[in-house]
Amino acid sequence: MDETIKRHLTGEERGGDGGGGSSDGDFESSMDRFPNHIIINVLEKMDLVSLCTAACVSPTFNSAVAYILPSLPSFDLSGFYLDEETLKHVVHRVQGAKSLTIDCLQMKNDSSIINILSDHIEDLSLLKCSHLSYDILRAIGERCPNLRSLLIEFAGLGAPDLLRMKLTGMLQKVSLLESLSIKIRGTLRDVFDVRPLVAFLPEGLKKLKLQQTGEMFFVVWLHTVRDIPWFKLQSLSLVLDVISDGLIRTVVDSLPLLVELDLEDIPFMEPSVRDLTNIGLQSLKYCRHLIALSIVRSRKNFPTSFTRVDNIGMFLLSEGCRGLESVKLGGFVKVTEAGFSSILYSCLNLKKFEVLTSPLLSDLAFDNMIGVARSLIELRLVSCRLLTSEAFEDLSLFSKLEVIDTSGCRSIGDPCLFYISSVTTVTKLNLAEADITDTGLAILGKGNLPIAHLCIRGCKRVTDKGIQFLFHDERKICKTLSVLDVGRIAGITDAAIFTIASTAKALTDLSLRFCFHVTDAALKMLVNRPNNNSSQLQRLDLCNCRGLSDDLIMLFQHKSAFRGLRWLGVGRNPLVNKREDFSKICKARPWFVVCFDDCEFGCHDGWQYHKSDD
Amino acid sequence: MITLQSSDKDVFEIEQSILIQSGTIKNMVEDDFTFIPLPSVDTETLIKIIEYMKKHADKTDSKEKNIKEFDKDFMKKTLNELFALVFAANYLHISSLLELLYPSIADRIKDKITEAIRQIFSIRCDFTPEEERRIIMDNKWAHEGTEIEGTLD
Repeated sequence: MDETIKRHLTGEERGGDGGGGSSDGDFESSMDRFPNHIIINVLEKMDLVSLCTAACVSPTFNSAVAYILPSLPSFDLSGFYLDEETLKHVVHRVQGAKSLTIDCLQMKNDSSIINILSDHIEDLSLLKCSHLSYDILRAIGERCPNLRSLLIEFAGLGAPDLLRMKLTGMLQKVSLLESLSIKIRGTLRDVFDVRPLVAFLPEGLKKLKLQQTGEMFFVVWLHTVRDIPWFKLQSLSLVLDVISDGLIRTVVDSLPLLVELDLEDIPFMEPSVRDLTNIGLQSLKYCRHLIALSIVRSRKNFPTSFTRVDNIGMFLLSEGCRGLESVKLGGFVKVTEAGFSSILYSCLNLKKFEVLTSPLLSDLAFDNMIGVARSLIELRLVSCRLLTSEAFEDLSLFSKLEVIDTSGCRSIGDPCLFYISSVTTVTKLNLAEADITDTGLAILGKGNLPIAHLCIRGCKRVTDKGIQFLFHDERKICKTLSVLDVGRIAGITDAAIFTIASTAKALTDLSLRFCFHVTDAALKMLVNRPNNNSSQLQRLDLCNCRGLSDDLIMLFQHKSAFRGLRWLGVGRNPLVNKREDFSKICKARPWFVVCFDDCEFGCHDGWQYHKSDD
Repeated sequence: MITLQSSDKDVFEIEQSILIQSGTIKNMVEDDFTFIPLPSVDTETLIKIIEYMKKHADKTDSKEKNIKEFDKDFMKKTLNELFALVFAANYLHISSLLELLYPSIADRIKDKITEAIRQIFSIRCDFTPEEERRIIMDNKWAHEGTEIEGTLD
């Protein structure tokens, strides 16, 4: 061959070293090995778990993974069970990582986290620090001077002064901080004292999220920051004791550049003088850049709502804030469909619309959707008892709709499913407590929607037949469904579980809460799902499944059964008596959590205090 | 017009403007070659490569959505076909095709267990038993419950 041609055809890479065996068989090529850089380029596109599998393939793959790991942009380790040793080891392998998310539930002392802090870290999320002290903040300040974003969750220690001191110490050192999120749960006494945030305000702070703080403290703080010209907060998220007009007006005054505002209050008593009224809502128009707004009153501590806001407040809001793309309103019991629909008509770029607990919201709000936001992606109308199926007649006009949530709307029936079945983009559907029947599920099934999350909890009229209609073999839902909740349905028996076990190939979360007629046979079917093409079940809720027997423990003791299971709920179930057996199983599989109380998947936010905890 | 010859001795005449998407071919063309033998690319793969380059030659804005659809369908091939393409694209230095192939291949192997990956890449496990045990221990944390080694189905 001509020399120059030969020169051109000799590629840069003449194969790697090691790792290449001969490939006789289907693959014919004159190059019998994969060049290293191809392996690296392919592996670079894989997630952390797959990389760990790939590392075990051969020495070449192992080196490739070792080469890639440190340069991955972020590490979310929150889904993994990691004890102190393993965490140190894993972080060591990803040395130089800029972004880390860690579930700290298992970390028993501060040193386990302090040891992995380094000055490379720019984005740090420490979730569920139930055993860690506020001293972590000091350590973060000292070891992570380049920190841009911090999210940290503490179990309240009843030591507000200590918190303030440590927080002050940290803020002095992290001058590049742009986003700060601190959540303290479980105690009233650590209600967030924002004073350190005055003295040592990082210049670039754009996002602030605090749970929980006091309205009065915060208003004082806002007055102070108003005079700081370079302070340009863009995103504010607070959980506090009460949302008042004064708070909103001060927010608007002091933070005119706000893009996102998220307020939730949990009052202990009926708010008296300081409360949200129409005037407060009106003042939001002065935040000209506002895109996301969420105002929710929670009834966790006291059954109260926003009684001083009515339709006029909503009209003023929708007129003043036309640029809103995400709206969430909870507890506005005096607002009727006129108020809510004004938002739908005004905010033409609306992508998310969520209304919680509105007893006066009726179908008329959605009467004429032809002129309305086509850009809607998520629609949630929770516990709105006046809504019927007719509200959803025009649903197919929303060509981008992905999430529909009507939980708690008991007057919705089968016709709604007919309308929903024509919205081909829906992936998450929650119809809890709706008055739907098997016929409705058949209609939904025919729509062949690529649903990934489906909840029909409490839809009492559904039976096994409905499930069969839904999971017809060739349907998209069989490949896409990962989360299914069929709790509180008496009509669900082993036959339905058989259908689910054999057709739902991607199922990872299954809730059978309060399904009284499910028996041991159903669980055996779930264990025997065909291995290839089926995902592993990760969360299973069997709370109050009275049809089960405690013989089932033998199923869980089997090493290969339910291999991927990470959370199991057995509250009020005969298996509750097998606590000792379960603790042996959990010792062998430390990532496996069994809940003997009534918790939902994952025990709510993952660190629910259980009555049964030692 | 440039003539390409596959390893199976089939010849293809293609316009120069389309072929310069391949860095290798571009260099040869600049050195005034009009006949380019490609002994490591078989006919089947070469046909696909030419198909890709033809589609991507015209990158006007209006065709962009069209090209995206084509790319999506183009990746719907067997894993072995994708491997053949990645070798060829690597050899011919067609970076846009490589950028398309890498994530597609990654997607196909990401849920597989170690032994399956070895079979796919036809790789011998070169670890000593001691090394293998250590590597598995090192990586076990990511696979709670499910086994890295597992069983092939």
